[in-house]
Amino acid sequence: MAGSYRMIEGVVVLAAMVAAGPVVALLSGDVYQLAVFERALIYAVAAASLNMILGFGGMVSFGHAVYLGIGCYATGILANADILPIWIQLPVVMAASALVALFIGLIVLRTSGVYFIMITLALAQIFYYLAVSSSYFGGDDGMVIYERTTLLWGYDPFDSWHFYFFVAGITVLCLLLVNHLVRSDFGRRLVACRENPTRATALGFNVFAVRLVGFVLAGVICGIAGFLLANQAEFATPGYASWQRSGELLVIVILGGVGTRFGPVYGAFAFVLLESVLAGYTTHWPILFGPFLICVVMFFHKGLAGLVDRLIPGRARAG
Amino acid sequence: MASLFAEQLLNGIQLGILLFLIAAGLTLIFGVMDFINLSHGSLFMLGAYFSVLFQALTGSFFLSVGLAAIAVFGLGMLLEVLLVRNLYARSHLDHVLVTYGLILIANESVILIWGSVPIFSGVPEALAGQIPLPFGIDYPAYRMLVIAVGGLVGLGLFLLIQKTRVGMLVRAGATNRVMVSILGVNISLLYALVFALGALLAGLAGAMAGPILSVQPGMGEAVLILSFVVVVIGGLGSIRGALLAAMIVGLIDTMGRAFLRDILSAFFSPQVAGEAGPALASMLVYILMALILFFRPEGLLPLQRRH
Repeated sequence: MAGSYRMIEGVVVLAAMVAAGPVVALLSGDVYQLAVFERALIYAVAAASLNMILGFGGMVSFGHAVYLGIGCYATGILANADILPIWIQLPVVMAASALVALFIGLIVLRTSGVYFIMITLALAQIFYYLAVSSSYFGGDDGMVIYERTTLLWGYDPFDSWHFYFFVAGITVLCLLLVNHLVRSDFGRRLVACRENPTRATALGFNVFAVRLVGFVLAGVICGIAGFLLANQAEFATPGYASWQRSGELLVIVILGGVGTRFGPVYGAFAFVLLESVLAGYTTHWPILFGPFLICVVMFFHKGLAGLVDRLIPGRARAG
Repeated sequence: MASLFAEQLLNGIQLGILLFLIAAGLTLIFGVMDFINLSHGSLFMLGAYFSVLFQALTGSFFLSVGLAAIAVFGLGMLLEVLLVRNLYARSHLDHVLVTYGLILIANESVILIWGSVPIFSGVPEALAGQIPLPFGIDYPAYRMLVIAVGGLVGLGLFLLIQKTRVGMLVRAGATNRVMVSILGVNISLLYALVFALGALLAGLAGAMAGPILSVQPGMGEAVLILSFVVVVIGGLGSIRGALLAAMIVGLIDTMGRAFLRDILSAFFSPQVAGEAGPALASMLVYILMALILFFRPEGLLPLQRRH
């Protein structure tokens, strides 16, 4: 019973997430509205990957945007070398993100707590400055990406609708993958290593290895978000790997509800849509967005996902 | 070359002193209240803006720096009482979200009031010149004053923490928070004072940095990240660690930016050096931090903590 309830909830949330953009675009008669929702979807993927290690593994990465940057640059470099098929681009992006995540993970997983937060930041900054100084790839100014990824005959990457469903399709696949990982044996081991590393070790788990696998998987999935971002923005800039971007990802995850199934989706949509709606009214939108964030912390338990839970009758949980 | 080196050395010390003023508050707030305050950089920025404001009102630079620091002290007190004290029992992640919200509010308020164009407040005329130092070195008088004032404030802070009753309570709070409250200390007043003191130091640093940097929205964030690096390298909650780390970070950052390019060009082609030099200089601080945390995960001078 509970299982089927979860399933229905999942289908409803994912369907609403995918349908929101087209509905708004059709109602307003403005296909460019799709771009806003594409950004929300991409952020949802990145936030879901961060939520996997943060919410379930207890690893607060303050440098998660680095994989957004890696994915973006890898895609851009391939695209500008005229290597466009997704069958080549995506594996390269995933391999590049995995390598970087492995390198970072091997260092940062020796620390914990606030030190973990800061050392992930430090390593991400090193990659950020690497991107800033690489004049071959545009340096500080970034790099224009001239061609979008190709998929199959009949898919036109520059058609707004085609491209929207390309982004939405990959987003849904990534979210399903994250949900599956979190609910799998591996996900439970990840939680066990967060809750009680000593006991997990006693049960025969290699805590370091479990965390490292989680860290690398999250990096790879965030790299895919970077791949989508490169296609969406048609631009790669060091800014995508900046600490501000990492901070935004953290804010999205916390806003949505840490360690909840659909928190990253709620957080990403709230963040991107509020930003775009408020920015339509006033350029000083942060002055409204700031108090909103504070209110979420002060009044909702478990972020927006907690609010959604409370709105559904019979779902309110204590604590 | 020698005078250039000495000048950069002093610049490094001056940056280190500013970083120490900010990091000292940050590390105290973390050590005593276990609170992560991302908006600490915003207090630095507000210090700079308040100083500009008071300078226009009073016409005196020195008076305006003092008034700005006091104003930020008051603001910090208000912030603690109205908002921050409700968050001590919450998770670090909630602290991050709320103080991120505060950064947005602070930056946007500053843009609304003063506009987004950087303000160059300029060095007061009496201090615009250079002062001669031993060995034939000339150094800007204003920067020398920043070093002196920052050093004095740092010394005062050290005496306050090490030699007074309030300081003893602060140290006790950083070591064992629960025990201090059990002993009947008015812990909520102590927390408010520590938070406001941290704000005062950040505001003072901002007011003094105003003439050196340009006063603009978002100026707090760059400093915030460096200060967090200082706090973590020094060891969380440790004032002595913050002082040591601030000097190391200030010197390494300044020296790297000044000389790394020339050092590299001795080994590589000018083109490679010109490209890698500035990049490596920006990375130096973070490489240092990663190395220190790798070998000493608790920082250089960690507190002996008991919970």
